[in-house]
Amino acid sequence: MKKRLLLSALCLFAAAATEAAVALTGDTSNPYNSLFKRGEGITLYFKVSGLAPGKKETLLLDFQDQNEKSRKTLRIPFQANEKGEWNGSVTEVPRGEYGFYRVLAKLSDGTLLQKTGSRPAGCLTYAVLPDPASRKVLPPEESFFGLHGNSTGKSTLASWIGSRWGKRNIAKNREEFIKARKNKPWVYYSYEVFRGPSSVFQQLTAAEKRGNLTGNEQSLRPLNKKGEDLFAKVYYDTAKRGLEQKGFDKVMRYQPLWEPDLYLSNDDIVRIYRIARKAIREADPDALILGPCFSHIGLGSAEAHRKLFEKGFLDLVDEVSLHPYIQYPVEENGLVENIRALKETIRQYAKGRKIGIRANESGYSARATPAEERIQMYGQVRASLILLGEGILSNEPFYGYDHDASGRGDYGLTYNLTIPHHIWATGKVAPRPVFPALAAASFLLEGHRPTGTIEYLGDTVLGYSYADRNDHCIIALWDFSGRNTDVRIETGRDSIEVADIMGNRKRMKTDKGSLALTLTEAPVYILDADPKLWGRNAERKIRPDSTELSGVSGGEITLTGSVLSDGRLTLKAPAALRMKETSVCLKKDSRYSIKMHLPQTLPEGRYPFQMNLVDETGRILASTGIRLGVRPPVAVENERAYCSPDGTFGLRFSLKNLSGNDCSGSVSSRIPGIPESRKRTGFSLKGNQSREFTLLFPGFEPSPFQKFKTELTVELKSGYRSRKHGEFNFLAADYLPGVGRNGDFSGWKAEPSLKLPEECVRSPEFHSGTEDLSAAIAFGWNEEYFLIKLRVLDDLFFQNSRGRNLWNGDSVQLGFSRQRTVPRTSNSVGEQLQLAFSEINLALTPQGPEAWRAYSFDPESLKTGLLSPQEFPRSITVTKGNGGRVEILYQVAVPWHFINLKKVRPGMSVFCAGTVNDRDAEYKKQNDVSAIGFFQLKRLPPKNFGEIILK
Amino acid sequence: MTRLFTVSILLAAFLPLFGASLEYSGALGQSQPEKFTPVPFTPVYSAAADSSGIYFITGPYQGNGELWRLTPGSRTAERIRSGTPGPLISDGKTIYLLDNTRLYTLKNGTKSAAPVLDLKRKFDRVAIAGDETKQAFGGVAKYFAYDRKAKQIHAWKADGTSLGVVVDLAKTTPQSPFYSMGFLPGAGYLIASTGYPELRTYRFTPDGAAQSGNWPLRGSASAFFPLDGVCWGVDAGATTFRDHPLSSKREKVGGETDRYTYAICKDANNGFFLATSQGLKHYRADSPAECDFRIGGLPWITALAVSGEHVIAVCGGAIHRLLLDDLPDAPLLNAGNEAWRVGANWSSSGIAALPNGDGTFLILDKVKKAVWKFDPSRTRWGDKNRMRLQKGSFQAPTDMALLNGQLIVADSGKLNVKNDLTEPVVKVDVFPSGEIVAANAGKVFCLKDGKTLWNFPGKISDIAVLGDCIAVSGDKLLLLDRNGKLLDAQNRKLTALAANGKWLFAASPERKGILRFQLKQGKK
Repeated sequence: MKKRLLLSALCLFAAAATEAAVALTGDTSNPYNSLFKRGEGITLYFKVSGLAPGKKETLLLDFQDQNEKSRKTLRIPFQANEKGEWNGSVTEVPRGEYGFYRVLAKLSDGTLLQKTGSRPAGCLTYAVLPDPASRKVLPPEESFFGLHGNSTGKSTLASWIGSRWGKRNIAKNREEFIKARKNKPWVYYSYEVFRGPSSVFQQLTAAEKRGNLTGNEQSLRPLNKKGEDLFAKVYYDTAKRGLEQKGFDKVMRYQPLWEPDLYLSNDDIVRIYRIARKAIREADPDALILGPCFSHIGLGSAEAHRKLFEKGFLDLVDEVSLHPYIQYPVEENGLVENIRALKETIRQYAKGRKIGIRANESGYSARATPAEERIQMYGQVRASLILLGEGILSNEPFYGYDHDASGRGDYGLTYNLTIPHHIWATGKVAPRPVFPALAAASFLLEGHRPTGTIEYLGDTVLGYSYADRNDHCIIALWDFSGRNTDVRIETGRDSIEVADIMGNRKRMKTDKGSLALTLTEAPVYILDADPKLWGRNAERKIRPDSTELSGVSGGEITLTGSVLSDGRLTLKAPAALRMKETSVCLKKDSRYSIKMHLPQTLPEGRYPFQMNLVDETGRILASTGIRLGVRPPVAVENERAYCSPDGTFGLRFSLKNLSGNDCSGSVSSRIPGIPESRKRTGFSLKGNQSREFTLLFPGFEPSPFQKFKTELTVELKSGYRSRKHGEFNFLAADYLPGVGRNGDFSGWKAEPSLKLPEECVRSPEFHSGTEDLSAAIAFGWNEEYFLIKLRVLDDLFFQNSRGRNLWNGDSVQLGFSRQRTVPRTSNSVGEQLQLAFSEINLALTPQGPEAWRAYSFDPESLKTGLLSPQEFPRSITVTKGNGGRVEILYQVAVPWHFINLKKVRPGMSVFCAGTVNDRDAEYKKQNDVSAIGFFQLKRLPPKNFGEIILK
Repeated sequence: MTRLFTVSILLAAFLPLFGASLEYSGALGQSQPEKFTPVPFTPVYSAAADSSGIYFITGPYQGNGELWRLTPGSRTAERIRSGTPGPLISDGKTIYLLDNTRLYTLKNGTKSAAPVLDLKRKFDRVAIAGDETKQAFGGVAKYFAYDRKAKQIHAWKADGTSLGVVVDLAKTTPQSPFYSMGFLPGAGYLIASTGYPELRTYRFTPDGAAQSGNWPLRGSASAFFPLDGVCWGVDAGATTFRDHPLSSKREKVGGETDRYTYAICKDANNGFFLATSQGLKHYRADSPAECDFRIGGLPWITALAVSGEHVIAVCGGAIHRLLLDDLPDAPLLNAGNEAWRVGANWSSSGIAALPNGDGTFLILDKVKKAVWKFDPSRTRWGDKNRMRLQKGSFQAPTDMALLNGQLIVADSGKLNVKNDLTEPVVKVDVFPSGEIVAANAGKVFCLKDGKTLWNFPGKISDIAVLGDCIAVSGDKLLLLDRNGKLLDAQNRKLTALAANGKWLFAASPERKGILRFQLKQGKK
């Protein structure tokens, strides 16, 4: 029995050992990049090793597209040779259509194709693409598509993806340049990036933060003369060499920094650009300067650029460069709106110059799974279509190949098959789905420029029309919701070719020019649309007076405009409006006026309408759209926290009847989880009337520094309901007449009772709990001042700094503002004044109490710097308390004009945040202060400040 | 009545003139107004609508329920009959009631005298084609039934003539077995969904073909319902299934807290009702992702706990979560029937619950004789940190309390801290200042430093420290001050209690829900 067991165990071990050794590897007949021209023969090679000699096995192959749809399956039986190996090849593979092919390969015993580089186990990939030789070479101003990060040698990707723009390095000398150029017949336009100086600068900045900046590094900074000279020399030398290395570039382009928003202040960016521009232009007077190359595009991007432009940055560049990284779906995350806002910001500061935008990185990281790779494909392709459609000059998808050493897949458009041994400048790659999709976009659209935006076919449908120099028109359309949407679009053709995301064309019949399509996340291209409708000089036969309308639920809207041709004007409303198609017959050059009643329960939102002008045969002559912004019939406005004279908190707000009719209903409040906050009151408002309401919450005892989510629900008798969400803290300032005048705080008897949160908000490694630092605060006000009294208990008082460095010892940093946010306008000065955000730091220095204004909303009249006791009354005292702890009492009176307020009255609010900084040792032992605080002083100030109600 | 009156007068005589009292402030978890019969169960397994109202079946488990009606525009339901197996099935116009193997019509809540069809044996799913569909299967049959074991769909004509097997699902080989079947109004095709892990929906044409066009679709449903000519499938909420899936958007009602949804129907304002594991939930047409109100109860509550803005109720296999200010018909913050989702072998026998101070709760398990830590913020599938068994076990635990981080447990009638109690105790709570309040079925004790300060007699179910007072449930709701003096008494039979400094929550077996009281200072 024992022997039998031993034998069985040995057999099992042997079998396990054999199985462990079985390996399946494979490759394509173009092993460098697995990219093939359509019609070109493709062979897949497979090798199996580690089998038992003579063992019969089967190779299972499943050819899937980017949607994991199986295109072909193969079963290839084979027998291992005496070495236990098998070599085989497959030639009958899908290759007739452009696109991406993932070949799932395994043996019937379950052995998967080996993982290679970042390409996962179980598959190899190849792509069928347009012949690079068939791509036209267009001048730089007509070329849009680029690539960031080409692979090397025979694996080169640029020609396959149609890249005409890329970053390059100026060679050390002309000979080197000619040598490097020799093997690169592909035409591409380029710019030089100064990574060197910026990297040096980055290192210097990091070293300075660590506090161990050496004298040598200090001297390299461009902030002193030596550093400036060094930087200028690098720029000058490179531009001088660049003059001899133009290649296909008629003019050389230089970008002095790379994503400087991640590590430099705006002042430093401007300083370096001044040095760079001067030096480059001295070497090459025709050179173009690119910048600032911010690292992403988001809601705050236009604002971030505006702050830089305010410092005169646009005078230093000829083209704006940008890395428009944005979350997927790009449309819902505002890529279009953000680009438009940025363009408008550039226009405002360009002083009449036309300054274009170049995108020299954009992309999506995707792990090597089909689902993530589809997102990468949709995101990258649609971002490219939007960038082209919004008039961006060029775009470089990032990155040619995966470069994450872990080999799980990252930003690469292709798998890097030499990871981890050889990550950069790889010579072996294989496509991911995004690669052929981008190749198709560039093949179809290179040379085309935008002629129009299509935003009216559905609330989640976006598209653009583009035309080339010959007015050849292409329309790209997609739905970004993840659902499918039926649309009809006028093409001006009886039949027309439509290409899918991979560029495969099929001819489709139209209904008198109107093409029916079902749109998905994957863009489609309508090829050769009628230039009379979509071209550069297309006559817009429908001319709405406005393409942006607004109305209220249950109200009426009127669409007006004119038509330039006889016909029937049809108006198609979105499904949510539950309205039938409306049409009116019109004569040439006549005006139209269409009234529509909006449903009572239509939710607030934006709704697209499509308008078509149809001739007597039913043929669409013109197509356009309008967008309707629907507001609630009764809007909640100006809501804020409220405190009654007896100290009861509540919400105060206005109800505005936006409809022209009288209406009545009820409004109710709620703070989820707080029973006292459920209040309701009825209202009746005449047309366009506005009224203020206060709902008080007796018994509500809020934690003073907690922000509560609030709900105000308006219900009308018509059945309409809308809900407005908000977030408020509930904290009041007591009325203290006369306190603060002439620096006298003796009238403020009450002790601070609001205990600051114990959480450490800065350098927690230097904070050891409430024994180390704790504080309590109180707020007050009178006609002259906003008052703060802060009692701090500290285990040790330490303050040796002065002036701008007050914060670096035991001190208080206080932020004030008149508002937390203000509506965006084009008047930035006006916005600043409304916001009225300033920061003042206070400390008891060895020379006495000091106050330093660190930030001012109005630097002209309220300068940053030291504040005298006359302009800013304060009292700071330090006393030794029980148990050896030190008590620091700060009392400050902030004049109202510091917050841009003149007359104040009970019920008004101001906004405030602060930190109490603590230092227990000198800088060598403690390289930062720790701090506790109330609300958030440093996170997007003053957006996260707390509201203080004047009681 | 006389007796109650007498007791009240006697109690009132002992009440101090000044002190504190409990003010009733509303109910949670029970949608019915106070004077109406409470809905006795949480889940609603079936729902259908016609012009006379919304009909639904609620019960302790599927197949043995009570039929209720919600008249149009009302939020108060009326019980029609008990002992209703169901489900309710609609062809888009008429409501049918399946009673074992027999199919009846249900008009104005009244079951027809004779069945319209006898299926002769049990089937797993039944679907009925509306009269308006004459295409495909709709042209030949009206009633369809799915036999999951045999993998066959049977059909009957409108007159009851059997057509036998019309689709043999065994011929289709999906990656997971089919578990539900429905009818596509308009196109007249049959559809069937596969279970986990494939989760796809196949469409069957009369020739038996399952693969065509975009079918099978991604996504599955546990049941299908025709509404206004569109087929809706339900699972976690409801989604539309149309014949040409690419030619329309898939609409959705409800969300993850509606796992599981058993049925969907519409009201007169195009709003939706979902029959779900947490009750009958209503969604307005203009906010299909946000539940408007819920019809249902919360029976068998064994423990309550309050933390921050939330109250949890441990009952049966579920741990429910509500907001302190919720209205009686507010939706629950959890899916309702999710004992298995709680995970980690939770035995569903919680008898006491406590806030742990960090948003988590401690739950005492009677069967496991141990404490679990429940983190309601963790909702990800398979997150084992949602329910963690804590170290240590007990003999026969009955209650627990936390004092400065120390867990005080009533175990086998004794407290695990030093005390002079001679009688067994089963309930315990603490004042933050350190006094321990304990109770058995007949007395409340207050202890300081292990010594009994006072006791108070009564019929007691639970105790809870409420601010500076003690709330006591039992045959009456009592409020004692910390010296054992009676401050308030109300004729309410309540069980589990939980309190924060101001609010008291009490389980009401009679109302099948939770009652909320506010502590009021001053003369009653």
